Amino acid sequence: MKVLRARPERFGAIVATEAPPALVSVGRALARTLGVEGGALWDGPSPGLAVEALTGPTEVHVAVTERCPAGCTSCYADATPTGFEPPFAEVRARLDALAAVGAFSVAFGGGEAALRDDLPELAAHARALGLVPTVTTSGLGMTAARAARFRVFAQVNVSHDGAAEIYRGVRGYDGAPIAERAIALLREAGVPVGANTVLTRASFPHLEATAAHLESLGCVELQLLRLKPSGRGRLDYLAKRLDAGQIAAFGATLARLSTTHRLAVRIDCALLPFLAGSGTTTPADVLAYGVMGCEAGRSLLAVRADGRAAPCSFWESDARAVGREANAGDAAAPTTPDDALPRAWREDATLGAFRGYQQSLPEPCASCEFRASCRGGCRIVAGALGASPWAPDPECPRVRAHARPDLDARPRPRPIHSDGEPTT
Amino acid sequence: MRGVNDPSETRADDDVLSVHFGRSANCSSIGSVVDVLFVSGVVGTAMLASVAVLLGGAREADADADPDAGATPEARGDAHRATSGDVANDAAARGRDGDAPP
Repeated sequence: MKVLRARPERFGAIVATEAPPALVSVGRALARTLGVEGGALWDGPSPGLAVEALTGPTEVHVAVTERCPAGCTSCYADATPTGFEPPFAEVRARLDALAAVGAFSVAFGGGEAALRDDLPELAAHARALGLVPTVTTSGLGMTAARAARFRVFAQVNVSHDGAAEIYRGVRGYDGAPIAERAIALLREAGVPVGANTVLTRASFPHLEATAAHLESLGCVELQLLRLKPSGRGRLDYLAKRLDAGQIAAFGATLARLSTTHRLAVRIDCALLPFLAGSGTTTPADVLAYGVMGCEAGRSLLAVRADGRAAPCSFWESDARAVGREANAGDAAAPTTPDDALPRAWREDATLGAFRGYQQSLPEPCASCEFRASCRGGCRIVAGALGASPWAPDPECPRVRAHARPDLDARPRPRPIHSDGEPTT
Repeated sequence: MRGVNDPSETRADDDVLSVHFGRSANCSSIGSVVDVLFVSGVVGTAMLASVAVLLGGAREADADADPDAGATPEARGDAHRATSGDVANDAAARGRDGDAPP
C-alpha cells in the first residue's frame, strides 16, 4: 500500500493510496504518523466522520459537454446532439480550481464526453495537477487510435446494460455493439475498463448474465446504478424503476454477484438504501468499507457543463439555463472565476441544504442504523416522487414500511407518470 | 429530528476510520466496492486494523527508492479486486485469529 497524497480533515486526514487504490479516512494520531498536521482543523475534539462537509470534495463529476447523438430515452442530463460544450480553456480552469480545493479525483462525463477530441488533453492536465482522471462513455466514436490516447485515464467506464434487447430496453437505442467494440478497443490499448449498468425492472432479472458477459469482455469492474428520475429519466421512471420484489432481492443478488465473479462489483450512492434494507450486511461493515450513500455536498461535487456547481450530477435547477446563456459563444472569457468553485463548496445554498438535511434527518432515517453511511437516501428520487427533496427516500424498504400503516390517510405524492403502483 | 450519529466517533484517534476502495469512474454518482462486504469471516474492524498496519508499512517504504517510479499504477497492473481482496483476506485472518480490535 503506497501513500500518494494526504489531506487534513477535522477528524484527521484522508489518505489516497495505490496498490490497492483507495481513499482511507484516518484519525488524527495516525494522520500525524503519516506526516499530516491539521493545524486549526484539529482544535477541539474530533467529530469523527460525522462532519457536515469535508474541507473540499474528494471526488468531482465534471460535465465537459451537453452534446450526445445517442438520444437515450432515460438520459439524466437531457443531452442532445447540439448541446452546449464549454471551450478547453474553461474546463482547464475548472480543473485548476478543483485541484486548488484539494480534490483527489475527477470523473469526466456529459453528454458524451469521449466525443471531445481534446478530452485526453484535459485528462493529462488533471494528471499534472495531481487529480486522478476517469471518464464514462457510451463508446460512441471510439477507435483504436482514440483508445490509445485514453491511456491517460486511470479507468474508463463504458455504459452497458445487458445483451442487445436489454440494452435497447433501458436506453432506447441499439448501443450494445458500440459499447462492446469500445470495451475491446480500450482493452487492447491497455486501458482498465469498467462497465456502468443501470438497473431497471426489465434489466434486473438478467443482471447475473450481464455480469458474466461483461466479465468475459474483460471488464475489471461492474458499476451498478439506480435509475434516477432526472432529465429524460423522469418521463417513464415509474414504469422502468425496480419493483418492490426486485428491491427486496437486491442484497442477495449483490452477494451472489460478488462471490461468483472476478470483476469488482460497485453500487452507486442511491443503491445503499436497498442494500441496507436487505439484511445481508451490517452498519459497521458498510461504514468501515467506505460504502457510501448520499455524499452530495459532503465529499462529492458536480460541475455542470456551464461551470456551475451542483451537489450531484442529477440535481436540476433553474440556474442552469442562465449559465448556458452566459457562456454561449464566449470562448475567450470563461465565466468561471478561479475562486468560484472553491467558494461554491463553502457557501453554495443548495450544497448547504443537502448538508443541513443530512444533519437533521427525519424518521425513519433518524433511527436507522445505517444513517451514518446512507445519509437519508437519494434526494433526487425523493424530490421527483414527493413534494420536496427534503424527505426520506420513498423507495427505501425501511421508509416504505414506516409509511405503510397510514398510507391511505396520507396525501398522495405528486406523480410524475402513473403506472398504477403506489409511490410510497 | 436527529443528526447523523457516526459509529466511528467511538474509534480511537490512531485508528483507520474507513476505507473506500477503488476508483469511482462513474461520472454521475459515487460508486463503492461491495465485494468485501460478502467475504466470509471478514469483520470491519479487523480490516481497518490491517489497513493501518499497511499504511505504516507504506510510510516506511516511502523512505526507500521506488523501482517503479514513473510508471502509472495502471501500467504496473494493479488490480482493484485482487488488491482490495488481499486486504480483506488479511483482515479475515486477523478476525479468525482473534486479532480484531475490540
